[in-house]
Amino acid sequence: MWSLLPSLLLSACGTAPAADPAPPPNLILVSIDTLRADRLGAFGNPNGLSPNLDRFAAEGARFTQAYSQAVITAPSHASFFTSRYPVEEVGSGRAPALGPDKPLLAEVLKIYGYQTAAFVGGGDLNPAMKLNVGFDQYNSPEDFASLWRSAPAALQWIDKRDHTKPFFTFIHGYDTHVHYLKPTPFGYLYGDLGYQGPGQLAVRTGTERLVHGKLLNDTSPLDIVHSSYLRNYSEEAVADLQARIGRSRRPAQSTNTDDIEFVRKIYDGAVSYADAQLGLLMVGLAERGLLENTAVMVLGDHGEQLGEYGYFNHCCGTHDEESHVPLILRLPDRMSEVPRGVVHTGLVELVDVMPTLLELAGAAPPGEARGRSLMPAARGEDWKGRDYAFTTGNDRMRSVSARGPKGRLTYTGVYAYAAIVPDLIEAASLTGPGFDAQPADLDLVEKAKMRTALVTWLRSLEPAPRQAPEELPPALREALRARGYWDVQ
Amino acid sequence: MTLILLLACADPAPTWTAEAVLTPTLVRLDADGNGTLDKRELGKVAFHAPPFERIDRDQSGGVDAAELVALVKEQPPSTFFFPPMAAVSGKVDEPGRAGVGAVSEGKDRQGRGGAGSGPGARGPGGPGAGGPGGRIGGLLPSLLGEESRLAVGLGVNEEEESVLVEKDPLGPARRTDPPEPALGPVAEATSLDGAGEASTTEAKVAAEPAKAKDQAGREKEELIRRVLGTLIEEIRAVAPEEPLPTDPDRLAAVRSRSLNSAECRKVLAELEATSTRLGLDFPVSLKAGAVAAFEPEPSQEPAKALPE
Repeated sequence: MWSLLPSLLLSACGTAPAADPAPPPNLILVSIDTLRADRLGAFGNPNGLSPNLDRFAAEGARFTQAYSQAVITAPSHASFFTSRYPVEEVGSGRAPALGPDKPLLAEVLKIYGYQTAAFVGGGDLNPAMKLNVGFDQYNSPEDFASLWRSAPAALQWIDKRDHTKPFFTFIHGYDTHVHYLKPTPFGYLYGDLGYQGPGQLAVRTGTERLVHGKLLNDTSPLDIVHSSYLRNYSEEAVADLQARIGRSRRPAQSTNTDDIEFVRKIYDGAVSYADAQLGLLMVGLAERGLLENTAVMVLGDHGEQLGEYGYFNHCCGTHDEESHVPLILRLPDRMSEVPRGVVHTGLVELVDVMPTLLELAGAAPPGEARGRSLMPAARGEDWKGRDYAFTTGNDRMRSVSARGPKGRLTYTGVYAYAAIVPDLIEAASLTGPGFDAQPADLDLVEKAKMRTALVTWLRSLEPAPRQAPEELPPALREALRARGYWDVQ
Repeated sequence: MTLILLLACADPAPTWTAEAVLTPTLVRLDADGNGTLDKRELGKVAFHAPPFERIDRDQSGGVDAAELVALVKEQPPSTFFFPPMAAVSGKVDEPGRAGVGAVSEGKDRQGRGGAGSGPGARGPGGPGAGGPGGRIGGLLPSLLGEESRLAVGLGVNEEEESVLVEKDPLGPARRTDPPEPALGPVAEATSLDGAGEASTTEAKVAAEPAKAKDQAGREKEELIRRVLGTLIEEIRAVAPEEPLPTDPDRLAAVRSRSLNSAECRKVLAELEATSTRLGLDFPVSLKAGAVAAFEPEPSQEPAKALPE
């Protein structure tokens, strides 16, 4: 009898060893648009903005030095759906120039027997952007929608799925995107409801008008915000912008530090809102008993400037504020041998997402995949991050950037699909206006190393061919421009 | 036996529950720490919200975590724009004024009706905007007292209104493309885009490929010279006291294309050794292209002797 005790104990706990190999896990990828890593407690923020994401991270593995490869939504999602860099995907249009040589994550998973569905917030993920390939269902009912809409819809689909096959669900929401103001109680959770100033207009409309200490009322100078004019935020560029504002037909309102702090606090409220939506999704999965055999990955597709360089929004720069994103992987509960709550500080790129999820599915990544699986790290094995992470600016890629362990080097003013770009970068002086560094006092030797890495990386890529800008549906074009994407044709 | 089984079956991690998701937010707002939010506590953050009596479903006088969950699930975030608060323009709204009506018209920034724009998109939250959010968002936020009027914040200054709706900055107007960006410090360099204008004579057409090749070669050499200049600048910046391995005249000769390839390679090898020792990576284009760039041109001026 005593020899049977261990088996009895195991049986009583419902953890009897399975006779058959475990089925491939379900996969859920959650993208919280415009979520900065530095707003999460699990990534060092002390203000308690994200209790649910912090708990999620404690149950999984978090990568604290993950960087997006683009700073706007469409090319960033394309990069982690294909494990290719934006230079290789985006020609002169906005939508990625995807082709048969760039299979998407959902396409590969379908080959391996997964049923696939996406629930997205439209906008840059509107079907017109062609990222719906490979999904059995691609639900994009509204532009710039929140997880409030997409997460429940995903749970409904999960309930009705074919239970004989594993599933891959992509869930996306613009919860931390402009406009920042979210419903009660989150909208004014940190910002003062009684505040009376220009920030109230900014958080209810779009923040791209908040530029270098001014809230612009006339939209004509807004073209400058997304132009290379502000590329280096030089004193001359700022002064010229302010002169143009002064000449505009409608004067701008001046803003002070209180106004900027108010807007930032409203963004923080949006973070807490997104955090709650993620928490409610986890509740839905738990109630359905899905956490036992489902891996959930949460990431931000890019960050957001919150006035650190004089403007708000994401568009033009590749600084940490716009590219440092949360990346957290929670493995299925049945993988009980895996350590939980592990923190990985090595450099990671979002192109690593596809190989990671494919390894979980038992699938091989495409040969051209630029990323590498993070599963060794997630399993607690010996793992080292990348030497550098690379990011390109807006969809015309007027800046390219290398992020190393000691900081970031950015070169601005080029079109990355031009073959001459690596040569130009190599020829430019590190002390000249083409480059800027984070931190600003990064030493020259380190900058030189990062420049070499940047040039070597660019030379290793296959730039996407030029293509005519795609015809976007008029309603989508308006919606994108309403959200501050002023370069949309 | 029972004790052993219980110990062996230790509780797993706490289950995810909706109340647990919203409890941290409730705690943050619960100033008196009694576990629920009264009208004043919730009023500090409420805007475009249902009446307190509706949020407090069990009419207990306090909103608990479950009721907060219901509120969050009920309210859609607006995908378009909330009207600006009157406070922005300095004008205080009159309670119950047409500012609320602006919301209830359910128009979006383009002045269109409640259907909004985009596939399946809705207009701003408000009655007539459609969907459950429309019904809730359109109710007068009726948390009582002065705080509630601020919480309403629905006044619309007409001048601002004209900016947002009639003036329609998002309309089909006038956006001009930004000028093509200058390339910064390198913009003065020779364009690397290749050949000149198309010709119309056969002779010119026949000469175009050779001309283009020659042009491209010169541009490449110019680029390499700039890389070389940058490298020297950086060596000097890192180690100002470090003597360069070659004298300035030899470096100038390299730049002037008057050296033969062997001598050029020697100079560059010395520079590579210096930069490597200082921790500077030697530019790839100097490694790969130097020799080809400095090949002496056929039947051109004779190679000059090195300066003494």
